[in-house]
Amino acid sequence: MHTVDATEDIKQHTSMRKTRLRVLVGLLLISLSLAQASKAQDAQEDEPTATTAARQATVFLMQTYEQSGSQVISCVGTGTLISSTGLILTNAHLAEAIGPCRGERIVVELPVRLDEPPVPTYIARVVQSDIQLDLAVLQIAGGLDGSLVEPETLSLPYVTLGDPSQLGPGKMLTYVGYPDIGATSVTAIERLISGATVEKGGGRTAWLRTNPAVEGSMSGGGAFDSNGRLVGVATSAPATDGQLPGPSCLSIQDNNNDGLITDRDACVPIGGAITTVRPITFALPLIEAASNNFQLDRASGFQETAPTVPPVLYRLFFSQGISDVGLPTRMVTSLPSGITELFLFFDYDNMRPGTPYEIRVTSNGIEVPEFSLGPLAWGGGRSGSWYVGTENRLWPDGPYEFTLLLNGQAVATAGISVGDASTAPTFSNLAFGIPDGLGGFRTSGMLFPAETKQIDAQFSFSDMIDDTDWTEIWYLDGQEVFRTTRLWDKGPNGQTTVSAVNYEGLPLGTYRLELLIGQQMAATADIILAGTSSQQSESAVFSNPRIANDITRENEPAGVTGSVMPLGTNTLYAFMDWDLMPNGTQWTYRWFLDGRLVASSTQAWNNGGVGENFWVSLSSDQALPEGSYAVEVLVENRPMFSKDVSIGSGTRPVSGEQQGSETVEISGTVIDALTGKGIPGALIAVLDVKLESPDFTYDEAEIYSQAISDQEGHFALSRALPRGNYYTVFVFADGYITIVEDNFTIRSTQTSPVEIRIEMVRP
Amino acid sequence: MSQDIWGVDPEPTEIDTGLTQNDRFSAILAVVLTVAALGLGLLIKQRSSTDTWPYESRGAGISANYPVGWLVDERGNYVVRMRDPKARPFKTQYIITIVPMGGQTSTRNVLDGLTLQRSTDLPAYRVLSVQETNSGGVNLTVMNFAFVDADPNPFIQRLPVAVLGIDILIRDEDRAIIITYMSDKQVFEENRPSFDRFLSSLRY
Amino acid sequence: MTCMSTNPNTRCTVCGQILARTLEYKKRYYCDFHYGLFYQNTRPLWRASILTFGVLIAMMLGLAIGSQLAPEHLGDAVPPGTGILVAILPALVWLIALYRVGARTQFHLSPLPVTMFVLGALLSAAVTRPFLYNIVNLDIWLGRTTVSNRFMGDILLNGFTHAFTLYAIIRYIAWDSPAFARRTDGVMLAFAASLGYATLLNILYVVELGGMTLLNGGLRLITQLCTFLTTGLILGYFVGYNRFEDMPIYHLSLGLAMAATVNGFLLYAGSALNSIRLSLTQSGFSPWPGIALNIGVLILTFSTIRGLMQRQNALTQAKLEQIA
Repeated sequence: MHTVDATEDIKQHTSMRKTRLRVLVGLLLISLSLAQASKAQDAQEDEPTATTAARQATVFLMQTYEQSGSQVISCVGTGTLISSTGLILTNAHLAEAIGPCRGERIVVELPVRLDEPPVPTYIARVVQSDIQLDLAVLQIAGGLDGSLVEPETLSLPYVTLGDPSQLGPGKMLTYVGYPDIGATSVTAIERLISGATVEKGGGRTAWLRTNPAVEGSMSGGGAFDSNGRLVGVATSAPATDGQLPGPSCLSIQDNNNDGLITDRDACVPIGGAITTVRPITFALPLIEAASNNFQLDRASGFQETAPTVPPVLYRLFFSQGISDVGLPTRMVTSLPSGITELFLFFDYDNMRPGTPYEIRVTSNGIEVPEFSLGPLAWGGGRSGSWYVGTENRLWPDGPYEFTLLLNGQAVATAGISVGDASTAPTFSNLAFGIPDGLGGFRTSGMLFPAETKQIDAQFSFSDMIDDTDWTEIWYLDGQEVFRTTRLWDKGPNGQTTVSAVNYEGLPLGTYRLELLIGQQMAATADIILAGTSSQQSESAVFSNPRIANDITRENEPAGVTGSVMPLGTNTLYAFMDWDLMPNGTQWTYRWFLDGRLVASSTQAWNNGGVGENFWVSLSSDQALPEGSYAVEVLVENRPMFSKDVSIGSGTRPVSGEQQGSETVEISGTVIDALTGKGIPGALIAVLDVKLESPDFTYDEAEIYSQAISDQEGHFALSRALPRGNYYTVFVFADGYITIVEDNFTIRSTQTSPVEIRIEMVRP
Repeated sequence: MSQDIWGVDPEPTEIDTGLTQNDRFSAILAVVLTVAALGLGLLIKQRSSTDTWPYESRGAGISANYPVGWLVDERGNYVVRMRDPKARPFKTQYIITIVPMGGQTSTRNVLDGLTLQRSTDLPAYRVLSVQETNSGGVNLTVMNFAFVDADPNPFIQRLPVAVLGIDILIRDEDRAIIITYMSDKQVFEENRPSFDRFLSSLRY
Repeated sequence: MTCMSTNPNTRCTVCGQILARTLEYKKRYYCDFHYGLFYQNTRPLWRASILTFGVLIAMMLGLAIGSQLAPEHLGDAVPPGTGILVAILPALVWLIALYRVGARTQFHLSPLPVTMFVLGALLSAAVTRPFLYNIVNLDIWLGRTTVSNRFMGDILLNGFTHAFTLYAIIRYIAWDSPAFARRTDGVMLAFAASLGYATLLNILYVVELGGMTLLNGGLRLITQLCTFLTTGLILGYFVGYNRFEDMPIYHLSLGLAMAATVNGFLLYAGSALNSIRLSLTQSGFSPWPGIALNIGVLILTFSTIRGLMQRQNALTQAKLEQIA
């Protein structure tokens, strides 16, 4: 019995040991799998988000100038790389010598490491700029030491462009930029879109609005959709012109060399809090022009002297809507509850480009940021009329005070009350036209031929009381030319017409009609009379368009003329004659290539009333690409003419940039598998797609893309790899086993850029 | 069964192991085998260190033998450039360039042209010395130079590397053949014998 | 052939004492005591070794789990101390287990295994490393040359240098010791020497690298250890066999060549097999194939040699009992 017991003890003991061993092994395996799962989750969290590429492509910009041998910062902001060749999209007020910016030297700081502040690396120059839109495209031109760089060799990370038309209230935007003066790393901030702001010059979606605000130094940076595509440019200007230190202008350098940084040193203006995004759609022509290296030019006009007197904003009024041509439809001083549209109109004079302007809306003394605008850099020209408004946004009941600020100083105010149900006589829907004799218009809009004998102004009226005084006033170029006051006799509601008549023809110029009920302005609008009357009674300012590829000293067409230009042409000139064009009229010329708008410029006319051989041009440093071109000229957004011309066969070859969109940029780190340390000087070579390792003859012509790793083992391949291919990759490093991989796959769905890790092992 | 072997048998002071002849010869054979294996290994190492691939440029009428595994590039403004892909951090390289020479052109003119070009292309380029020499009956002009190799990619934090180089200029009728050797300063002398072999294999 | 001799000059091949009555087995002469001993098993060797292999596997799993759970900042490199611990632990386990098992089973072991361990360590640091890395510059050449040359270099230079060093320790130092009294003692002593040899090589490797990753680095150390233990086992088998039988002259050289070849091959494969697929998500390296091969070969070699030794010992015992 004793023996049996002992045997069973042993068996039991052995069985327990086996069980313990199994439990131990089981626990080990569970721990291992848990650890693997946790690692996998970590890896998933570490996956580059949609904004990683955006952050890598976001640069910090500094404008600097030299003072007593030192570099002084004049203004700062953010920009976004939009091509591997170093094109940067940013605000014009950060690029040009306007406002506080001196425009002497634009320093580009790159986010070399995403978790570190940016590093000053390059100098950039402005290649395209539109002050009115506050957009500019820069080109990296050289190193900080003055050395030139070849754009094609830069191979920088860049973002792809998105479609802002898909965005609306409730959608998320991600701002990417630098939240201070380059002291912190590139930051991504998500904000909900709260609506859009309408503005003259930008149309109904001049600005996308987000809430709450982000830091002003992120101005010029990108706003990205959920897929990481660039859909807009965050825009805000410094609230002041940078002359005096303050909250919006920080002293950060000892410019006067007194050993201290005080208010006596020059300050760096910081953009106001950002709630406004300029949709990328506005930047497309600039980007196209910059990508194609296009430059726009035109015949020079009369030199305009800069205004010497302070700017003024005046004649503020509100309208409940705007017409298609931007005229106020219904002037109001109070509004009922539930309104969703409201526009503020004002006149301006002596304005300078880039002047910080702001519309601050308060209600009972509390600012209402979603209805405020700016500060923004002024881009509307020297003088004229302007409007800003909102659509599809509910205005809560209450009194609203609109304050217009220039340089941080309030210069005009206007108030309106929402929720006031009282009714008052009104004129509305003021519209102009050339009468057709049947009570309608042959031509309408705001541009009419000069020397027209009669312009009718048709408007609706409501709640009018007979025998009330009402006044009709016409101005020509700011001077009152006609005024009459009459007693109202047309009943309470209806439609009527007033006219400007001159049987010798109405002279060219800007006309303004004001209609008053009593002493209160009830309707107003501006129209322009320019050009001669076409067969359709429309204004024809420009005529006789001709295309040439050269120009004489006398500004006449030269070289090849006609509609087909030879390959190698580097400038297209469009010549035209003009008749009856008042100075100051906004006109636009734009060029199309294969139906795509590639360059556009809008400005005030300053060449006088009549002339011949006015020209606009599209040029490039190299030959213009082969393709079908068209030039179009507009006056006050009304097309005057369009002229086609082709270069070469008229078929445009596929550009490298287009090819580039099908490629994946690859960067990464080469590390020692045992130590985890980076391997400097490793050569990563990707062979041409058709080659495999046995075919490689060690001829560098067979290498499609290559890179040498840096001190930390980081590398970036010189050329992005087209998607949907298998590649052969060699990784060479002295002291390590050469890696040869014949099946390095880039799937057609692979996102770009991608970061890889290469581990090498010693023999 | 357990046994105590240590307490039983004290270690004797002198032991006659009683080796057989087989034992003696097998010990010798093991040494011989090891020496032979090491010798063969060293021979392979020695041969592989000097292994070369042939290069020939019919256009330039030049041929040479360069180290195995080096990359060849004929796309630049030179006849050929051979690079050691493994060298770190600077890729050791040989470059053969041909420059036309007229009757009035001196070797010094050619070297000055090189200096001017490199001064704009290479950071901190300096000519260290220029001397005339004769090797195997061929007149050579040897120019030693140095420069700093730096990666222009801002995202790459490669430390600048001091590079030493030699240009060997051979006048061949109406042309100058310039054979350039560039290497990291740290391994310049170590790599020099390989370049000398390359140079001695050069035919033009 | 086994027989008895009465030659007065004959000495015991193990202890060297002059034999009054000589017992011979395959041209080796024994005293009475050692005649009954040389075919016995060194039992603590097998148990201590199996335990050590278990510890090696546990360390592999521990390193895998540790590297997964380690904080991010430890994911890349750990201080050299950790690597040295990984290098030393198997040796400590084996030595302690060997003597503890010996004590528990009343199997008295001489200090010779410790001596072999220390000698192996000293020679690796004093002879092998300077020869291979300072004179031959093997590491530089292997990092530059072709795959086939690396394979040949690993066998002819690495393999033969390591194998000969270990062989020399056993053949010229342990061979003459009376503590080398059994065939399996050869395996034990060669195992001890190779353990010391690999341990110090690993420690110096860690120090030279100045820190290594927990997983890749740790597994590399275990991989190298397995390589040298396999080499030691093969050498120990041949030397142990030869010590107690007069074998043809090529026998030891065959063992040496086999050990050198296996050593070189495992060193080569330990690195080469770890080079796996490079892709956008895979780094081109995995520490597992190399260690799997090495530990597999080690266990296979150990099992084979243990089986061969036990079989041979059993045959010898049967033969001697038959004669008796």
